[in-house]
Amino acid sequence: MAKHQTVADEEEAPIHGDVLEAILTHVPLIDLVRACHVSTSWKGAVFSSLRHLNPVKPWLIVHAQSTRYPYTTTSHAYDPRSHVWVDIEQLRSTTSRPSDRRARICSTCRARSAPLVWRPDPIVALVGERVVIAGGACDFGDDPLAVETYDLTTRAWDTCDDMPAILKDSCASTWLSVAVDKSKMYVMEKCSGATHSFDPITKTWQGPYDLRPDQNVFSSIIGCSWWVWSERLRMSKA
Amino acid sequence: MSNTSENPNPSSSSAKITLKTSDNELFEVEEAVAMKFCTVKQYFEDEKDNDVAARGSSTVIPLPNVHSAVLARLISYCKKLPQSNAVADNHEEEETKKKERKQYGTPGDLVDLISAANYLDFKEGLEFFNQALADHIQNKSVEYVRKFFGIKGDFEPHEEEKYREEYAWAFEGVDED
Repeated sequence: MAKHQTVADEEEAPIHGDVLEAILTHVPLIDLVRACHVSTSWKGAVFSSLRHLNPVKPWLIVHAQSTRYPYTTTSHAYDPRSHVWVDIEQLRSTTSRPSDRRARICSTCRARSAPLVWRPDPIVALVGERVVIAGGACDFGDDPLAVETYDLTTRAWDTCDDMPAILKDSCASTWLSVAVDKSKMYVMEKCSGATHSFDPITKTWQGPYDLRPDQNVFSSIIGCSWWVWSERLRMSKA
Repeated sequence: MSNTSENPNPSSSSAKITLKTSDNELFEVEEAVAMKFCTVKQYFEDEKDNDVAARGSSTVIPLPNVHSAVLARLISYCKKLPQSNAVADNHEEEETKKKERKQYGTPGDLVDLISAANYLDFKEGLEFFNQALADHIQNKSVEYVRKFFGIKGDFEPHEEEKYREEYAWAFEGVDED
């Protein structure tokens, strides 16, 4: 290669413009923070790439707790823009200095008061500005059909009407399908297709609506644009 | 000037297409390979529509923007493509792919490959070589990136310091240079 000791101008750098922006679409979001700092033209390219080619998308954050002692919790985030999973270190206390750069991602997480009822398998949904947590509580002690909402603006928990009793014995993760639009949450019992809707503002349930297209459908799933996906599996006698 | 060494299976019955590079080298490539380049495919289809030429090596497709050295590398990449382009679904596979991408050398080389792949509208190649360069940004220090890409930092020292302080987490835990 030719001498590069003289002045490595922007023009002399082999990569710039569209090519650089296209390359940056392949770089995970977190690494772009450093890429911004390479030079002013790279900073421009990072912003342009994020604006036009591969925009930032909301992350999915998963907090998991082990069901066995010592019930360790782990947190992961999925960045759909970069197609990567990121481990998030537990925030132990606000004073501990994060040793890993991943930890700081969580620095905007803040402690919130806990829900009122302990539930191993609830429905969790975001409806407008409210987080709805329904059902899935233990039979003993707690009401298994209890419903709570958390208002993101007022930061307060509120109790609501219980879930319809028909959903009582249905584990949320196995037997229920949930969809949400701007104002309501819809819960479908997968086997029967019976669907109820919940309005977090009036705190009331409506239904049931029978959404099963015909009796041969034994499992139905509900989706957010009000499409009902049905799996039509006839009993095949071999 | 015909470059027959580019054709490892002369017995293959598939049709051949001749490509002419900017430095007037002729490459005889299998149709399946040439059709990966959408620009060539388009040219070939236009020719067919006009009934100008019959199929095969009697047609010479000029590629005035591509140098022979670059085309040779693109063709060899193209030939081992089917398996290498599958989405990596496990860590090991991703590591192998990363190693494979590392073989493509300096940013200068990669930029030549990228602009050729861009001109030829060769999507898989473009993705691959873009990712090869992205590998040199991901998890690397700013100094490494500057050195690798031949860029001079042009921030004021106080700007630089402030940024590093503000985003300290982003500068920790990167790979050794």
